[in-house]
Amino acid sequence: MTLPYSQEGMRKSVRELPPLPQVVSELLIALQRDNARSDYFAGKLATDMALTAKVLKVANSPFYGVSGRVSSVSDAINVLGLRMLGAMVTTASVAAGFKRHTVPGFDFDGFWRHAIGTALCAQSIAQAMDRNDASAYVCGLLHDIGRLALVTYFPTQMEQALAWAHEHDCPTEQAEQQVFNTTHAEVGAMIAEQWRFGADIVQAIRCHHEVNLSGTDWLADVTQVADAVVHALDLSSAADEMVPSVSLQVWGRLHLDQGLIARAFDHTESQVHQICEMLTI
Amino acid sequence: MSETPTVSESPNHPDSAVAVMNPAEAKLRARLTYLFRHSLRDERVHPLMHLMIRYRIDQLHEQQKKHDEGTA
Repeated sequence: MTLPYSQEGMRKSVRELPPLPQVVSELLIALQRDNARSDYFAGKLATDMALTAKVLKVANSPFYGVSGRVSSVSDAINVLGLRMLGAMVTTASVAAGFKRHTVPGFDFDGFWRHAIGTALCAQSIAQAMDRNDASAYVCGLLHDIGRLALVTYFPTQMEQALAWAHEHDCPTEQAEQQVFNTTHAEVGAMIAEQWRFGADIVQAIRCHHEVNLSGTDWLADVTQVADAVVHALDLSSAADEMVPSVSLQVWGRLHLDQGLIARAFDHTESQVHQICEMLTI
Repeated sequence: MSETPTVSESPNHPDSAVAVMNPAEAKLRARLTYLFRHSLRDERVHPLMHLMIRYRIDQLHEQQKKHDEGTA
């Protein structure tokens, strides 16, 4: 198989990606602060009419039991919570920036279900570690963004990569290396840099399949484990689902006991369906 | 228990002893072993696999208990 892509060529393609809408990047950065305030969110969100309409529509859905009574963004935040809001605006905005192609072997809804599941699981583990759970949430949500970029902008080549992975029954990052000479993790890190996320998030996205992680931030460890947990929870029910390897060093550094990890499993399973339903995924 | 126990090779670990389990549990273990096939190729069984098997088996037993209570 030929390797027509250089790192620089891929970087050039990433530079041509649409930027993350300013309101979304500001909301995500604010969400990572320990003292995230709902009035700040409401003010920022109100500047984007399309997102405001989506938020109000979801908050008024029968699920929350207040149908027709939520008329402001502030009320919607009280109903939905900041985490749900963060998931919603990020998913809606990022998904809008990547057109859906029909690529055999790639399931767009499954992609977002996995992203939201990883966000919830990373959040739960970070909470148990008394770390910034919002950073973990954002990182989980975006950890596979490179995969979305590859399938959107290089659908033919990604189809080849997915077929190669299926044929060899190997993780897709191995197949991506064969076809693109890079992986979705590397491309995702480029995108996160382009979108001006912090160095810790960029590194965690870049390293989420590295099994020889050392000297990295806690966020990289949490993201790698959360990704594997969500594959292991088998939320996609894909016939050829595969749990990626998790470094034993990473696992050991997180000190995950049975009670903690069972709570992370519960938190992820119970909320992922609810959030996906709200986002019509 | 609603399902007849069968003798089946435990897929918890490729080298593990033959264990007695019901068909639902055997199916569950087989699926989890398949999911973890990549790490099983070149590593010892990962602690995450043990924890996930325990979690799913507990869930299954809970469901079967509820089912048995409901049909009693």
